[in-house]
Amino acid sequence: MKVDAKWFSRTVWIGIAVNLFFVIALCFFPETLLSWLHIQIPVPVIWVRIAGLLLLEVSLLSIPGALNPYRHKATAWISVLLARGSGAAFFLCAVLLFNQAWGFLAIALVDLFFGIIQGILLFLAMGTETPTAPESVNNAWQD
Amino acid sequence: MNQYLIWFKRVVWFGIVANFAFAFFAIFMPIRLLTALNLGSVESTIWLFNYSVLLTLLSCFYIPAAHNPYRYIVNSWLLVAARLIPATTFFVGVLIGYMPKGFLTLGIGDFTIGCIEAILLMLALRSVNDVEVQQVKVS
Repeated sequence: MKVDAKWFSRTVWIGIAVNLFFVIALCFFPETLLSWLHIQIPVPVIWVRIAGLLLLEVSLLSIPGALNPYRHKATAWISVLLARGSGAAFFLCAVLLFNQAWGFLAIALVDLFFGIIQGILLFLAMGTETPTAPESVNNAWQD
Repeated sequence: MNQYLIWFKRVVWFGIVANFAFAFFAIFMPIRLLTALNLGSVESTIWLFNYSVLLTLLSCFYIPAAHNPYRYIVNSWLLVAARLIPATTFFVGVLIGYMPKGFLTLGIGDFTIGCIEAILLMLALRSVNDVEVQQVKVS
């Protein structure tokens, strides 16, 4: 059913928007964000800012999968399994295994939330693709 | 497959390997890497590790384009942007004294790879005909 692909696209776009919130905060207001999350502000703060820059690039590279998960199948799967999965795993391990600040859990939970929902929707969407004529998602926001 | 496309794929793979190498050294030998590249010192390596994970992840997004640039043409152009955007950031950061001079090395690397990829991709697209593009897209 095309509806699974549309909802996958919608959740990826919402995830990109949430990422952009973190991008702006990490790049331009890192001290404010880290204080709000009760994470120690590192010295120097440069690596926080350029991590935000890379998050922007990862978000941009997720866009093809959001536009058409059938056409950009590999990108769609990478954005779910690797992007969200590795983000959640990294910060969960950092907190639970390496005694990093609990504030990192907020980032892990965001990735985990989107990763699970997007994974289920993408799995369902791929199951409904017709073998000869892959469906396209013309507009994720139209029903 | 035209020569420009073959070389584009090779340069993308080279960039992927270079990113993986940086991430590997950043995670397993962070102090040596920071010292060798003159990237300054850090009190805590968590954000350097996070940067390395994101860099590895970004490189994974390059792989579909490295395998089939025509099918993943959007990825192909985005990976060029993903080289030039940080290069610009590093150049400006060093210029205004915000980043250690070692980031110039990273900027030059990203800028060089990005420019070569952009030129090869433009030449590849210009020299291919429509039939070849359709054949490659469905493969």
